[in-house]
Amino acid sequence: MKDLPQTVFVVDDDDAVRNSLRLLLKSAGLAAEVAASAQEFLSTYDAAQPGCLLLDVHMPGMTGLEMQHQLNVRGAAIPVIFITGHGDIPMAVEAMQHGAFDFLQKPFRDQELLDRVQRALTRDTEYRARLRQTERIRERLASLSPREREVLDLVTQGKANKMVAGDLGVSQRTVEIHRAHVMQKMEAGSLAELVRMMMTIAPPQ
Amino acid sequence: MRDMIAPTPDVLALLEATFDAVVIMDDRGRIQAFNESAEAMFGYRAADAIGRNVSMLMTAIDRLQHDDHLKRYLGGGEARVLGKGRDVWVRHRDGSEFSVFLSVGRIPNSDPPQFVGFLHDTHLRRKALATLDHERQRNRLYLDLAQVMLVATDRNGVVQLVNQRAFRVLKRTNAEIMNRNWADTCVAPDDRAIARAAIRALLQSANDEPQSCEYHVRASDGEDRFITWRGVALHDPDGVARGIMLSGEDITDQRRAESEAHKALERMNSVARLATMGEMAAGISHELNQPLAAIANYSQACSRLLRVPEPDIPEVAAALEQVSVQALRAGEIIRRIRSLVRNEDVRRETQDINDLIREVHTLLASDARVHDGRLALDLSESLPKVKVDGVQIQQVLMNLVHNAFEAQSNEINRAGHPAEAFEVLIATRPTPEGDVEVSVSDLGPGLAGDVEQKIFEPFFTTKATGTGLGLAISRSIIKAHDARLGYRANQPHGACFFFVLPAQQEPHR
Amino acid sequence: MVGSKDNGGGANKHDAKPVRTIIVAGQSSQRTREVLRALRGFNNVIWPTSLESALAQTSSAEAGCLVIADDLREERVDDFLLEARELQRNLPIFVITDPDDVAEAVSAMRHGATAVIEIPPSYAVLWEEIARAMQ
Repeated sequence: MKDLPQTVFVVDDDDAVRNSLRLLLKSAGLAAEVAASAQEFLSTYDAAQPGCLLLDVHMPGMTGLEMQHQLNVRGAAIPVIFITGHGDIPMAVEAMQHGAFDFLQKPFRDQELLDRVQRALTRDTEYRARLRQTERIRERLASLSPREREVLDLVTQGKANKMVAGDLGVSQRTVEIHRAHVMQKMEAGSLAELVRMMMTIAPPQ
Repeated sequence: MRDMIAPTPDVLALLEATFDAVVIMDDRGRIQAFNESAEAMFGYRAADAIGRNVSMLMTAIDRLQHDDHLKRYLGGGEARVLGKGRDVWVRHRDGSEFSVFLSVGRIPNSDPPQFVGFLHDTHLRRKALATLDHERQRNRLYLDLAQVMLVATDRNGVVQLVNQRAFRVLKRTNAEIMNRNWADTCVAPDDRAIARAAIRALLQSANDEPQSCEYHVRASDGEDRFITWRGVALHDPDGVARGIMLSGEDITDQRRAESEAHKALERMNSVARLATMGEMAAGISHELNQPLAAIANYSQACSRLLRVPEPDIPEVAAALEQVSVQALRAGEIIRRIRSLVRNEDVRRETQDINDLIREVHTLLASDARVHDGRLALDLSESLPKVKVDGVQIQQVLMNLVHNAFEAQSNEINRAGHPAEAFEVLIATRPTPEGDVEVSVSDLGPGLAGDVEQKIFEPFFTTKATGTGLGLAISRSIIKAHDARLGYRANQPHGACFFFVLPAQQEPHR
Repeated sequence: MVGSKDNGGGANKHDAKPVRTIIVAGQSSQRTREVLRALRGFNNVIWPTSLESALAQTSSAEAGCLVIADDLREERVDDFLLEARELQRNLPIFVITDPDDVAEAVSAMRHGATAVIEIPPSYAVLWEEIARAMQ
């Protein structure tokens, strides 16, 4: 379920490369938007736009790697595929260490590029879906009362209802009722599902 | 004088006074007078000579001729013997033969005719000539011992004198060179104009200054030797130039050695040029990969665009046009690289230094690109032209610019610095003396004090993968252009390498 | 081939750090030998006889870092990388490649390498990375 169409963003200072890429993407049925510099891109980019980014490394003004850094700082998660007229291994390794999705050298075969673009777009879709899911879980979590929240935490730790009752100083029956409400509000079908939800929103280690 | 017929006292006195030998004879050749000088000359006393035939004084050959001449004269024929002086061989009493200069005249109003012969002793002259000849022989010896070639010609370039060395070098004999035109016979065809012009210049020169020139002579076996000549004009006592004398040294082998050394230097230069190109490979491949990528993208896009049922032909056409544009762009870059790498002969041409810089701007800018730096140009307008080998100067610029970007790249903390902080500047400006200064400045760390001394040494490098040759070669190229490659610190930090090229005077016409 | 040393000094010096190993995974190739030669000067370099034992060493607590020295004829580097990553999430893993093989380097990074180093010429880089990893 795609709310917004995916766009392939192209940032490259060479006119010929930019225009030819736009045409190539178009011929493969992909929507493309181009920018001639990092500044131009950053000034108009909206992180809500789904898609992926084809980014040149060597550009006057802000370089590709610097722009990647800027995106990281902003928390943008758009997958970045670096394209470069001159790449060496140290540069590629640095780009990947800073979170690049892929790294391609010019000139490239069209299928090569399109495969990687497709992979990046899929990654972006999955990521956004996960994001939405996390949002939804948070929303549901926020709808729980404090007591319900407590029950949720203890239950997902693996404690039995009896133990939970003891920890909270309430009756087992009360715990059972809270638990039912939690399952309902969280739209979880089972304890396992509930646990998975909580793991989803937990920060990565 | 004894037994004379008719000479008056004055005549007699005259005859006695004269230094020459005088013999008077009658129309039958009988000696009638024989003066003291004649006595001394021939070894006869007058008394023994008078009455005898004058032929006793002559050699066998002349004897016959004399009778002949006399007969002919008396017969009314042409006066072969009279009025003209000539060298004749005569005979001494002791039988030895020697040469005298004889003039014969008819005694006026003598009838029957009497003849007076004046015999001039050429013995001294001969002695002088012998001495001269001896001198000449000795000089000849010197000429022949000389290690230089000696050639003298007359005004028309016809050879009058050649020494042994010249014969040896030209592998010719006397007969093949003497009295022949020098340029036509001995000079290599391509150089004949030079040789003739040199002779002309010597003959026309107002002073005695020797003049030099160099050209090839051709030996009889076709081998060309390269000779450096010094020539002087030879003047007669009146100051008119009669001919020229050339002294030449065969420097063929020397020149070959020089040319080998030059070729070796050229080879080193092109190795260094290739090394520089290798160091620039990043920039070059980047520069070429752009049009190549565009070509690949456009043509691949065209393939896809044509697969649909109703292709957008104008779009495909526009894309294909771009393909050719990009291909030509790539070709241009390759052409420029090739001309920089090609092993061309050194060719100095008068040109504008700014044009040279602009020619390599694309390549230099691509090197800037891969170093994430910027290249700026500050070129003064209306600079005087310079006479340089364009390719070599461009090589020096590439080396300096590349070094500058490398120096700046080593700055660890790039974050937070504006782009201008990594700018390399190429500047040209006129000096107060009217020459042209070219400088390459960067804002890197600059050179530490002790490094500054060593930086031009061959194989000295601060780079991990440097050859250490770049600056040494650059310096020798600049030196060959009569200039010096210098270093000064840049403000507020960084390095500036510069050189000053002499301005080329425009020829006045 | 050097075997791993076990300090075993837990009882005597209670603050002794376990000696960590530099595991070199690679076939008996020239490149592996070059890498081993380059690593002389580091302590505890081990070169397991097989990829299985290399993985076993990787999973142990003494593993300091893993260096994949060549193209591992028996298995694809990327797959081996994935397996190693699976065993140890935080272990520094370095992949050695031929110079300028950018595609291979990128692929290794995507499969979990910490860094990719070209040899030759970057011996210095290799030393730096390993020294940093072993701190």
